[in-house]
Order: sequence, then structure tokens, then C-alpha cells
Amino acid sequence: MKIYIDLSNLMSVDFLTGIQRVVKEIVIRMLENDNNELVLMDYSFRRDSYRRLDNKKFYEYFAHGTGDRKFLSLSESIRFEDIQSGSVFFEIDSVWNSRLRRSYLFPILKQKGVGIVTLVYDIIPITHPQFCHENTVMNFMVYIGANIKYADLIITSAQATIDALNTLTDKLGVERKNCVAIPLGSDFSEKNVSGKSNKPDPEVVEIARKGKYILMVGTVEPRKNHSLVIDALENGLAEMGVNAIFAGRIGWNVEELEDRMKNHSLYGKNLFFIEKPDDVTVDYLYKNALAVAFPTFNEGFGLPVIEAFMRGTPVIASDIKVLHEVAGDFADYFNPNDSDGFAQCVKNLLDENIYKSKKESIKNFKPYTWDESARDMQKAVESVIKKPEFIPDGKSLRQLVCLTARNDDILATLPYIENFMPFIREIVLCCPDKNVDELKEKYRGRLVLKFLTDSEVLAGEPLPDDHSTRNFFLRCHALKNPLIDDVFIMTDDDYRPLKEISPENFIENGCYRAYYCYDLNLWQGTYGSPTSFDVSMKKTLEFLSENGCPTMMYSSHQMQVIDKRIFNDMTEKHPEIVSKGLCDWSAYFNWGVKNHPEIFRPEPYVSMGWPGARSDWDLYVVPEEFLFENHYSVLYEKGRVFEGLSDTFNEKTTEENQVKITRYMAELLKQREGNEVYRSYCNAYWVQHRELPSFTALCTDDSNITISTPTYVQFRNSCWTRVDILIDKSVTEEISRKLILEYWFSDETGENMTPVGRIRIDTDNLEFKLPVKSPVFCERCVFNMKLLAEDKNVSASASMTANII
Amino acid sequence: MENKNIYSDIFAIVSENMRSAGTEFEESEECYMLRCSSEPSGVDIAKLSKQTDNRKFLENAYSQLLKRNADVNTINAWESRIDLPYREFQKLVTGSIINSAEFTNTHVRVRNNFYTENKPYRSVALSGVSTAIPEKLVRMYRRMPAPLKKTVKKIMGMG
Repeated sequence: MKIYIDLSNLMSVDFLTGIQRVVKEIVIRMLENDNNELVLMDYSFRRDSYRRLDNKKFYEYFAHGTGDRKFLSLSESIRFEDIQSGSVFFEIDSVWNSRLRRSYLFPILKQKGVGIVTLVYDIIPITHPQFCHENTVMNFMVYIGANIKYADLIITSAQATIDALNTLTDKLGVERKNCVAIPLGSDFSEKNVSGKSNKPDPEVVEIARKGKYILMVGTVEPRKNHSLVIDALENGLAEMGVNAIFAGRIGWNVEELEDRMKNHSLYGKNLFFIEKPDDVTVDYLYKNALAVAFPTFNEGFGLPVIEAFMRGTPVIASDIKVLHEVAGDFADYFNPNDSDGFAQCVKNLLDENIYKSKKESIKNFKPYTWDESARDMQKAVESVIKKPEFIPDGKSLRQLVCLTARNDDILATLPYIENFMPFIREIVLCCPDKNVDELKEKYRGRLVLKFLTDSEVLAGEPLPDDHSTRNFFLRCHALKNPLIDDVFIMTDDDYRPLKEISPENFIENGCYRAYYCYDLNLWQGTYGSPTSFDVSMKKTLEFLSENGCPTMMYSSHQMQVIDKRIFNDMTEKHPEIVSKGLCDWSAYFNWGVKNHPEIFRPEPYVSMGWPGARSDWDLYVVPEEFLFENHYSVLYEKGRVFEGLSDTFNEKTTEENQVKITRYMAELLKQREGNEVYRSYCNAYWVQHRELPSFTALCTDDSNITISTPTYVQFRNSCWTRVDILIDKSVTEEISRKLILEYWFSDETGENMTPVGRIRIDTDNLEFKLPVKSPVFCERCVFNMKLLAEDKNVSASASMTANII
Repeated sequence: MENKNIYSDIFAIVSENMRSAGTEFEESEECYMLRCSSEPSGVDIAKLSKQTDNRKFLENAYSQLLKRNADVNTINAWESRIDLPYREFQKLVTGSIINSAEFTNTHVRVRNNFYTENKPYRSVALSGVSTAIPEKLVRMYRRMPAPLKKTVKKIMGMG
């Protein structure tokens, strides 16, 4: 199982306290588990991606203290889209202050069916924000919100934190999260001790030997309540010969406390601060302390409590729920607002008999070890990946199901299926009643034709008018028919295999292969005049978003495997969608990825002829190979990509398909080059001008339009490039809703080199991508834009150098 | 459950907790909501500019573009211009931030900046961009004396 872990904070701190110690102990042990495929990462905002860490070097550095932290990162980048479907993202580090907000990252992971497991140490910034830096509170709110929305499992170290989370989700009116409490370990072993030498700091030893001392370990911050101990020192403890040693680092919001401490009359005599001691020194301090004080107002766990008990040192702790959970009856408790109560606990321990008895009782304390903690966390992480209820198997795949109203098209397609898909035995044709006779008469091939006519499927229900609504309606009804196998291949009448296809192209290693071509969130469609297809995509996006599903577009215009049981589960749970005209492919696959991530494997599509024309839409992914052709007759016409090749099956088809693939791939590669040229231009522009090139229009104060453009643009020659256009709302609100955008290339004398492109601005969609085709033969020309209001005498234009590469 | 609702609901709950402890947030809810929807390395100026209250815009711009809150000195420095028309104010603030040395180190990619200064069209000298000009001509140009280079540039419209 692949587990991704973001260790950005661990990699950035120079001193391990609290959370970083937990991260270190758990990750080291997960690395020791050979069953794990661990991907350790560090986020780089410069690259806007993760950098992979070297597992071996990481282990050596954090487990044995060897090697150099500077060399833990590899050059390999991991983009968010590279995180594999079916894997788990294990959130264990303190990442809420990272620039990579989880509100941004988690939806991307969910798109891919990645499980999310988070170790939530506490939610103190939510319940007690006054104890935290405001920036941390703000960031933590985003972090916890994203986890409540997207995490599949939350691990805490104490039931008290689960209770706090449940209180929060109840207040929010959302379902309680799936949580489990796993105590943290604290066993002391050579593994835990990393320091520059094996001996404690001699200066610290000298301080410790000055007299009995109360130890506080951890960051100095308001919540930890160091001031109570200072109060107790002032009020008599110091006079009794008891010292206080604070070991840790200075945190936030403690300027006053730090001032009080370091300027205190007892500082250096009875009160000491040891900044960032190493593990060996901390271990020494623990072992030789009279007691460890933990007067905190709130805690997620309280590692110092356990660490003290492990060294046989008594603990005086705040009387709060979580510390009772962690320390049980082994600690002495007091009110964290009462320094006298604390002092009394200390005084009790000065009695030799009481102290001896306390130390004896502590021997019975059995904490969790780090091995146990890591083992339980491993199990929790694994639990998120559901064991499949069944394992898909391609052996039983034998049926094709096709929705068709065009006899000529399906008859032309059938020979391809016969010849290239030998495992297919039968095809179920869902068609109008009147089409059946002709098909039976004209088809003479080996496939068994079965029919599900509209009248059989509809059973009296009227057929919707709109094309997309009709198709979805018919499929939803057809899939309830027992004539259709549980697992079958769905196709349209113009999807043709290009070469021999095997069941492994649909089901492999127990997973349904789900071929996507786009992201519905990014789908623009035909700008200004959406087609039935575009409307269907929009409706599908709404449905999927409302139901917390990923939103990839699976309408890849190729054959795909469908599990009828999962499809019907979707329509049974949401019967209202049947007449809404969703995209069946996208609805089904995203539903499958969300509810059965263990048996769906999203991957880029393998279909040629989609898009039919480069101008239709831009590529989201580039197919690495082509297994199917989405047949468009127009592509076989003169001047088009398949000119001269046959579009019906014949003895040369296998050979011609190779030619088709080569030609089409050449076009795609050119398109990809065009995108690369534009992307590299955007990067270069950003370096030069500190912003990405943008084309925007704004209404000025004197009711005119102003267009802002980059100082120059760059395109690949004779290529379609999409440029981002933004028309500010002020233009449509204050000037006109009837806007036309014109664009063309001219030479430097002003003579047009391309026809003038014209689009009407869709006032509901003022931010869009404009497809621009660059001229063929030139190196430098001028790109012109003009925005005009049709009903008013207002317009604006801009021109810029265009470098054509 | 809508993206916006859960985050703003959490803000309301935590604000209440702050008030119970006798304190309040300095940062506005709007600025916080921008954090929720922010990308790690991209900022959309068109989106930021929707805020027409200059003080709030200042807060948001610093938070998004410099990834930190505006400090007291910054706020005081802008106070004298706080009553400017919002478009003018926004142009000044975004220009000031984007042109700062601190901004260079944030690696933030600004887009849809309609406040960017529009230079009138002229031939722009190509730097580091392949133009497929014959290599021989390029070498000849490089060997020319400065005054002659200037003339060539003028002829080519690159002056």
C-alpha cells in the first residue's frame, strides 16, 4: 500500500519538540515495515510541488543521527496530480501553517480517490484560541475545516480530543468523523536519543546538581502556564530549597513571561531556563528531577508526563480530563489556577516516605511504547483502504452494450469489434423498435445481436426530447434489465477499436480501469453557446459536487467497462437524476471512485478523435497510446488528418490504423508543443514582470473600457493556444451586456495576417479561455484585441508583439 | 455541505470562544475566507479587487500576496491614502507590493492583474527567445560598434 507523508514542518525545524518527536518516532517505524511503500515529501513553494525525500537517508539521520539533513531531499518532484489513486495520504506533521492549505490540497486528493488519514494532536486553537498566536488560529481553522470535510479517518492520542472534535462537529451540524484514539509512545531507547554526544551538557549537569528541582519540558507558551511555577517559587518553594528548570524553547506570546523569568531575582539561583537541550540532556534532567511539573491549561496528550514516568520521576499535573486519561492515578493533580495547590503537591514530595512510595507506584505504570503506537497507527491507516467486497475479474467479460439510433453507424462499427475484440461474444443494442429489422437483416457477423428496444426499456414512459437527457434516461432504465450482464463494456455506435483489445484493457489487477479525459471543474465547452453535451457536463458537475464525489470527466468517447450493480446503486440512491440528463460515464465513474476506490483505477484516456478538432477544446491530458477511435467522417475529408484513408473496415484496416495513429499522434504532439511554448512563455513572463500574462478588461471611472494585456505574447506557429481572458463585471454592469471581442494577427505594418475572430461575451461567464490560432509563416507579428459594446459607441483595443516560434 | 459554510461556521464558533476569553480577532472574516480558498502559489487580482473597502483590501492584499499580515507601520503608511477611490487605491497597493523585493521571494504568481501598466505597442526586444534569425546576422550584429547597433535597432523598431 502506498502511503504519502508530508514532512515539511519536520524538515524545516532545527529543534524537535512535541509533535516533531512523534512524527520522527512513527515515521521511522513505518519505514521499518517492509510492507509499506512510503513516499516521504517536503513541500516546495518555489516549485509548487512536493520534493521527494530519500527514505534511507531520512531513516539514518533521524534514527541514528548520521548523515546531513541538507541531503535528505531528492531532485524528484511530486506534483499533486501524481499522487496515486487508491493510496493513502497520512497527515501526521504540524502542517497547518504551510502555504499548501489543506482546503486546496484535500479536494485534489479526493478527486483521485486517495484516502486521507490525519493525526489530530489537539484542537486547542479552536477551543482555546486565546492561548495561540492569531495566525496559527486562522491557519488551524482552515486545516481542521478541511479535515472535517475530507478526512476518512482522524487519529487522536486521547479520547478527550475525540470528545472535543465531536462537540465541534455537533455544533457545526455535520456528521461526526470516524475517529480512533491511539496513545503516543514514550519508551526510552537508543533510537530515541539523538544528540551530538552521548553525555549531557556539563553546564546543565552543574545546574541540576545545585539542588532538588522541579522540571518543565516543552515550549514556553501561555498555555503551558510556566508563570504558575514561578509564582510558587516566589511564594515559598525557593526558600525550601526547591529549584525550577524550564527546558525547551521560547514560543509565542510570551514576551512578558520571558522578561519576568530572565529578569527575576531568582533567575540563575533557583530558576533556570535551558534553551533547546538535546535528547541526552533532557533524559538526564528527567532522571534527576524531584518531579516533573505539568501545569498546562489544555493539552492534546502530554508527552512529558509519560516521559517522566518512564524515567521513574513523579509528575504533578493539572487537573484536566486529558491528563487523567494519560496519567491515571499515577500523578498528583492540582488546579492550574492555584499556585498554592501546586506548591502543596511539591511539599508533599519532599517527605521522604511519600516520595519513596510514589516512585514505587510509578513502576507499575505501563505506557504505550512507540512500537505499539506505530503498529496501531499503521493498522488505522490500512483500515481506510477498504477490502473490496468483490474483486473484478476480466475473465467473464463478453458483452458489449450500445445505445444507438443510427443503423449505418453501428453496422460500420461492428466489423471492427468482431476483428479486434475476440473476447466479445454478444452485443446488446438499445435502439428504437423500428431499427431492429434492418439490423437483423444486414448484420452477418459472428457476434450475437440482442435487442433492448425503446418500448421495452421505457415501458410506456415518454422519451425526453433533449439528446443528452434522452441518452441518460435510456441507459438508466436499460441497465435494470436482466439481459445486461453485471459487468459489461459500454460503447456508442461510433467507437471503433484500433487494434487488438483484451479484457486487461478494461479490468486489470482486480481494478476497473476508468479512463478520464478532463476535469469537469475546468470544462468550458463551446463558449457563449453551450451544447447539449456542455449542459450535461454542468449538471453532472453539480450532482457530483453536491455528493462529495470527485469531478473528473469520463466521457472519453471510447469503450469503458461498467459494473451495473454500482451504476444501479447510484440511481437507486439518487432516483431524481434519471431524468436530469447527466453524463452517464462521468456520474458512474466518479461515484465508483468515491464509494469503491479500491476497485477503480482512474487513468488518462486512450481514444483518438476526441476532441475532433484542435479548436474544440484544449488537452487536459495527452493520451500515451490509442486503443480506440471516436469516428468522425469529416476527419477523412480532403485536407483533414485522415485524408486518403478508408473509414470502413477492409483488409487494409490494421495497417491503415497504424497510419492514423501516427498522424493523429503527430497532431497531438504539435498541440502539446504549442502548450509547452505558451507555458514556458508564461513562466518567463512571470520571472520578468512578477506576474503571469493576463488579458483583462475593466470599466474606467469615466465609463470607458480599458484593456490590460501583456507587453508581448508568444505562440507556437500554426497552433491553437488558449489564452485566459477576464472581463471585469464592471464592464457588463456599467457599460453594456452586449459585448463583442475581436482578435486577429497582423504584421508590423498593420496588415491582417489572419481573419478577425469574433465572439460574443457570455455575461454569465466573464472568465474564459479564448482559442487563438497563430499564423503559419512568420517569426514576429502583432496580436490585436478589441472589445466593443454593440449597443454603445464604446470600445477599447490593444496590440502587442507576438513572437511566433 | 458547501465549501464556504463549514469554514465560516468554524470562524463563528472560534470567534465566540475568543469573546468568551475576553479577546477578539484582529483579522477579518473575509481575510480568513481568502485563506480558505487560496492557492499555494497563485493570486487572482480580479478576485481580490472585488473588495471595495480600502482597509479590507489592504489587509487581504498583504495576506495573499506577501503571505503575512500587514503590520502597524504598513497600515499607518497607507492611512493618508485610505480615502482614495477604490480602484486607484487598489492599483497603488498592488503595484507597491508586486514591485517590492519581499514579493520576489514569495514566488507568488499573480494573474488577472488589470492594474498592470499597459505599455503602448511597440516592438519589444526579444530576450532569451528564439527568433530563428540567421546565426550569421546575429554574430555580425554583436561585432558592430555601439552607434551602429543603435541605428540597426531603430530600423528594426526595437529602439
